[in-house]
Amino acid sequence: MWKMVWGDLCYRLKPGLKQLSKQFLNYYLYLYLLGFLPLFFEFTWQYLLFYYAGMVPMILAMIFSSVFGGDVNKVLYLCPLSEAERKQYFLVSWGIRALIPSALCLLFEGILCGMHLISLGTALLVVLTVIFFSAVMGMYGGFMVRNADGVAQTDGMPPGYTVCGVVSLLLGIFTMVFLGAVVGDVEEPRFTGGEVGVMLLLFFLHGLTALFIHVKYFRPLMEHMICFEKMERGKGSKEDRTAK
Amino acid sequence: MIQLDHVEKKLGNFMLTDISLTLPKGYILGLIGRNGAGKTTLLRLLMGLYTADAGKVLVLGANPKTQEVQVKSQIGWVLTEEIFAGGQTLMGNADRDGRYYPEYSPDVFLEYCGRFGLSVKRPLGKLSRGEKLKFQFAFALSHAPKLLLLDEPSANFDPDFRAEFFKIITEFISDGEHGVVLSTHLTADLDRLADYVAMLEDGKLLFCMERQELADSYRIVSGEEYKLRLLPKDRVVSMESGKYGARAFIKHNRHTTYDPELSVSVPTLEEIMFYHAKKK
Repeated sequence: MWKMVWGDLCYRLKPGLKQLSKQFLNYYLYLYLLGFLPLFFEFTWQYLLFYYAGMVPMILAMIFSSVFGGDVNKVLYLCPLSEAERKQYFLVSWGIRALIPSALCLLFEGILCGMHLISLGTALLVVLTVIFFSAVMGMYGGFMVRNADGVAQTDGMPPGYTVCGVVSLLLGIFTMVFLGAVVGDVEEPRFTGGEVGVMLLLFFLHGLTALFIHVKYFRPLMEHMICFEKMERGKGSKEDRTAK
Repeated sequence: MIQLDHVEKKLGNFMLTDISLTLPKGYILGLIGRNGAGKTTLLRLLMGLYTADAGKVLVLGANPKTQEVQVKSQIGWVLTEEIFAGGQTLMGNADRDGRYYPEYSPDVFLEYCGRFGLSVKRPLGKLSRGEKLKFQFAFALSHAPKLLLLDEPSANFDPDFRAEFFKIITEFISDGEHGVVLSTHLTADLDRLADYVAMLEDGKLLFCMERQELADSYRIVSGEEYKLRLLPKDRVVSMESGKYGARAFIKHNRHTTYDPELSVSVPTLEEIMFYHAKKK
């Protein structure tokens, strides 16, 4: 199953990126996030590395979410696969989408820690933020996944999922921006005001949202995605009409 | 092969109502009806993609929803939707999805692709619509299915391939162990192929009968309008009158006699479909 999901991801990555590059807002968001620190803050190469070590995996999680959302390869509904196998596909693809950015972040932070550029506590905060973030983004893109017309495919998702997803996305980004651009290393913060406290508050809120989303939406989303009928109905009345 | 008993399925505002039909082994069932009549919904019920709200669906003796692996491994399908990976080659697609079918044979797939004039090394996305359907058809045949479910396949085929398609379908059912459900608007195809014909209209099954029985059940009678008005009203399905006379589509049986001045002809499937739709 891992091989198959990996194959699907590789297949969808290239056309997905092409599609993504046409959507100015997404493109702009990623560029903005990457250029945020060097453009608006005084920075050193050390801070820049620290910032990118967290932000690049987060952007990767968003890209995966956009180009390879939780939707099951449609042929899998038609092939002789049981519901349990489709469930496995959903879980494995979620695992891959969450694992790659998290592992990348772990690697970056490990290197920075090994070079004594950041403290262990900071590295832990960054890695946890990226894990929360990619676990939520990887569940199902929903609000991130867009069709050819650039319309977000949010129809049929359990109520409230989109709002919670967007809140979690923003909290994750704010946490990382605050951590990377404002606070720097938690053991030697750039500013000694209340910035560390604000950052920690954002971090905990982000973690709580991620936990809430998993408890409330993971199972309904999975049930939704592995059943052709639910998925088709979710796409709305237009699809219902064409299904006749 | 297929048995539907009083099947009902609601999808939004649309409802498939009280569908009962049977297809024995070794036969071809033609499914006709206008857009939105419920043909695709019915096929999706047979594929186990939808669950019936009421009634019983049996495909190859099993419930396609609860025994989906068993049923789906014996079904070959051709759909109008583009569901395969456009960026992959034909062989890549077939191998990727063929591994789920216990009987999938790359050699059979290659053989059919060769027969259909398809290069298996080309990316699927580069093919024309008709070629994509040929690919689906080759894939459907490559895993030795017992039942073929074909949703509007032949509309995009060129005349040469259409003849080949008919030949393959006829070969497929020739051993008496296989079956085909062919949903189409092209009733001329069914005139040539179908053993049974089912017509759906607004989610209701208007009829499901043997092709010959269907041909014996209706007549088109034309002549002077006042003579047509004398026909028993309960047998007239539809009537139209024009400048030069009138035509009536009527229910027929072997005891029926007609005024010798009326012209009586056996309707084609297209005419049967047209007049049923007109009746509405």
